[in-house]
Amino acid sequence: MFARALYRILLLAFPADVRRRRGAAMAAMFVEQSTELRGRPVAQARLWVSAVGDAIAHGLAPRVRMTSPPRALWDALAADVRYTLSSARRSRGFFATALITFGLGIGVTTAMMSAAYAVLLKPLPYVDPDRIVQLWREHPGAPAVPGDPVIDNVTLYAWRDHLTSLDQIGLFGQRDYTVRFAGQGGDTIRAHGAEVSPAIFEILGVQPQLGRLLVGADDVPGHHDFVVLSDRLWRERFSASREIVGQTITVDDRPQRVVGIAPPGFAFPDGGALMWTPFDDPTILDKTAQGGIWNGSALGRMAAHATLAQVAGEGTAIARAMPPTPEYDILYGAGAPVEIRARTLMAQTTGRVKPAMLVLVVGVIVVLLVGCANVTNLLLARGVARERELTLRTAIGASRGRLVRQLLTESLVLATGGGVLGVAIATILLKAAASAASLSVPRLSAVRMDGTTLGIAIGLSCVVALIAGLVPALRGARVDLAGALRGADGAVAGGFRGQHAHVLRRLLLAAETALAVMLLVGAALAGRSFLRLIQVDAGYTPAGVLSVRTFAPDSATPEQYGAFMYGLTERLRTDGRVVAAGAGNMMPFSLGTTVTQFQVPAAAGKGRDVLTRVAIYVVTPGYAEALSLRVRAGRFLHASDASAGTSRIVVNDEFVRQYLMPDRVIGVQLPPRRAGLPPMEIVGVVAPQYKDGNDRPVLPEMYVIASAAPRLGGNEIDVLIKSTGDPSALVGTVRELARDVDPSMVVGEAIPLDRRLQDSVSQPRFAAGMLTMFAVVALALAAIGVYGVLSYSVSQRARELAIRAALGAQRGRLVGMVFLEGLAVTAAGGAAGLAASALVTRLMTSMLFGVSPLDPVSFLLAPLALVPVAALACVIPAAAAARTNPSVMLRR
Amino acid sequence: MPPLSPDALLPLKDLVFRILVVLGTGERHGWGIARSLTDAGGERVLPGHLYRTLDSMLDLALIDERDEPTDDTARPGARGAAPTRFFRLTAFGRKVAVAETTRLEALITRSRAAGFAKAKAR
Repeated sequence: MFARALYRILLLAFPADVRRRRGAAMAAMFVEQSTELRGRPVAQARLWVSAVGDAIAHGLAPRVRMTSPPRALWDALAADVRYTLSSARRSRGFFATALITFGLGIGVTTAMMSAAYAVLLKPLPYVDPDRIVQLWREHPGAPAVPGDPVIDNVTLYAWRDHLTSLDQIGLFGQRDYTVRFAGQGGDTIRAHGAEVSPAIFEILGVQPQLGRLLVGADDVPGHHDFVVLSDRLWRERFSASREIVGQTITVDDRPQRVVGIAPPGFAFPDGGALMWTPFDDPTILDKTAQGGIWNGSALGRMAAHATLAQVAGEGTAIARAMPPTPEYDILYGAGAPVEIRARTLMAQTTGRVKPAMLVLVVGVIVVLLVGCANVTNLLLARGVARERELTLRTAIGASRGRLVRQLLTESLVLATGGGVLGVAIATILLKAAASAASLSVPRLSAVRMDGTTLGIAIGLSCVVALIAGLVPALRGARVDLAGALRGADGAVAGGFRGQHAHVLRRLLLAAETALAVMLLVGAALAGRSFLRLIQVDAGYTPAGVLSVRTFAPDSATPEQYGAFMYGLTERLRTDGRVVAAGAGNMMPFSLGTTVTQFQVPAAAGKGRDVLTRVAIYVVTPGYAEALSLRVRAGRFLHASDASAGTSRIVVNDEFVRQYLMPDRVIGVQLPPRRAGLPPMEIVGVVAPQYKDGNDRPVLPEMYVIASAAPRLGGNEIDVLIKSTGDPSALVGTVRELARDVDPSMVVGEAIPLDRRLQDSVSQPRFAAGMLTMFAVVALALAAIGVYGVLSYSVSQRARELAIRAALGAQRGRLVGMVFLEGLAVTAAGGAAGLAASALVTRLMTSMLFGVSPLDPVSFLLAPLALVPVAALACVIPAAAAARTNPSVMLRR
Repeated sequence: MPPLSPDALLPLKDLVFRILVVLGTGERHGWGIARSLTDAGGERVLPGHLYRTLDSMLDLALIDERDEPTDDTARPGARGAAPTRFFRLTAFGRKVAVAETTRLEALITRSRAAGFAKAKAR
């Protein structure tokens, strides 16, 4: 078994006799423990980490005390370290370079691994988080449901009565609340939070720090005005007063009683959640509302010994046993028989960001390896200079092991120094990362320099010391006594001179270059992918547009909605800075998607009756102008469409593609959405709005003009204003005008639309930026390596070059010789790097957009970047070679 | 090892006492001890820690071990042809366990007197 073999390697930390007597039993025990955690990779990873700690604490520690008489070992080590430090004083340049290389490498790698741990591996802050799963419903083959995966209440309530593979199950739904604060300057805020069934708190294993959390008795339909506050909201807005429990606060214009405060650090479902209320399922009160079907996100806690497959199977069986109603097809699309799916909450949280994170971790390890290769080369080069010293020590009687230990100590001291420097660099980088964290890289804001990070840094330093130091140490110990003391000038096989060392150095250089090229290709791919993403024509033009989210109180009437939408946009249009203004129920990047059902009779469409759902925008006429929607055919909606005989609508290309014949669109009539309304007539076609982001699939969309009393399907009104200049300049005006038109409307976030777009692509931008930085660092390190080795080679061959010059060789030829030597190595490395990239970049597929993993342009960009840098690195030593003065050289 | 008085070893390290308690109900092999330790609600013990403790307990003559030749009966944890070693308490080990239990009982009594005991469920 693989695990057993790996554990046997760990056993090497234990003394030989313990290995002999107990090794088999220990390996067997560990394999048992690992097998018990089968199917839980995170728990298994943690077991392995503990095993390493166990091996160090109980294997290595007693060993250090047990081998040679303790005093002697300690003294020898101290002597080695003292010796290293004194030789550091003498070769400052070398040590500084090596230290900085290590420091940078360890620092960047530690920061990256810490970030990856915080985002991907750190267990969620709930009780036994590996057993919490998210559940959702799918109709395979149907077009995607917009937004987060959801399940319907009917299936969930039926399942709740027959739980086998789950201990608990509950619904939740993210939403924003309007909280009005009383008192002087009482302001109103929009607080993010979630509606949750009481079971959710039990599933997460949360205990309140004050009062209580929601319980079943709170969930009385229509009378569940209870709220749980988060620790953050309690401290920031209620001064952590213990009296708040039992008092009422005004939420959504209704008094709600605060029943408890959540513990510090608890924020579900995301970091911005500030409060929780009971889950409002309107079909509990009125079974006919929306056909009795309401959607929500669902969490469950798996029973002990249950598996994800069992959970999904159980849910699917229950869902299929429910009577099918047409509402299901409308909400989820018509497809194959329903499936209920389950995956762990951790997978749900980290799923989108995992591929990019893994690529970045690999990338940073590559940078570290390049750094190690550089230092190894440095150590090898330096080893030649110390050859006399090492031969002397051997002659006096130092054993091979002793020499190896001395040389290893050197690289250990270097690595320790580098580690300290690295910890400092990592602390700075991590602080920057935490403050720049956005919602698209979850949990990054919690990353900081702590015990785990420190442990990573120490571990890396040790590994690095070993990698960089082993080869020079082993070579250095292979000293040819007679040959070296004779003063022979090279051509000795062994030690730091000679063919083997020469080849080794070239090999290391080629490897460095190959690794740097791989990073260049990766960075080019990520960069091009990011550019493709933001260059997508998303169906609207964000430049210069201010987007404002406003919220109506629950008591608002449709007439109030209409008056606000038209009133505000008309007033805005009188401002000289406003080119166009429109309002609607949705805008790009709004959280939810309002859908409506509609029919396409066979005659009007593709020859089949269709009854399904479509995203619906209810807008004022200025909306299209403000967003510069691309009208493909016909026209957009006018104000007059609000009171016409037919209900005029505009659809998008995707709608036409899915439901209509391309030549019969304008003028087509569809049955009304609800009985009693006039039939719908299509008057125009627009390009699809990439509402959920440039990399999400497009949805069929429908636009209708807002009447004087529109039904928006929610209480959010989005206002879009196209401005002549900087859109942020209009924020104050918008708030004022909104207050004038209707003071009961709450104006929420007002930011330029461009910023929403940039936020939505911040993850690919982050990945591309990081990879580029890694590639640049690796390229610089490789170039320094090439320069170093070539300079060294030139200085070694000074005699030879001087003789050649004295014998009449042209300067140019000397330069050319050295230059070509360097280029040959870089070319070989570059070619190897490209070949390796071709094999490896397919692992990046999931994070690339519009770019193939074998994209020729990216593969071309890499050598294009490499060649000038390599040339520069070769030219300088080559020029030095050309400047060798024969007479000076020959006199040495 | 010269015979020690049981009290010389007190207070026992936590893992040592837990192993003595486990072995008090009968001899076990290494993996069995680990399982009994976690079944009793304790933290998981890793092999290095466990066997190092067992070895030092052997040195102190608290336990001794015997070889059990492999046979075909399925034994949990037996994989491959490794001979399983069984551990059991020695008389001295028993004495030490008794001494430690007495010590802890005295401690609990004093703690109860100080009012720290949880209210007993009815």
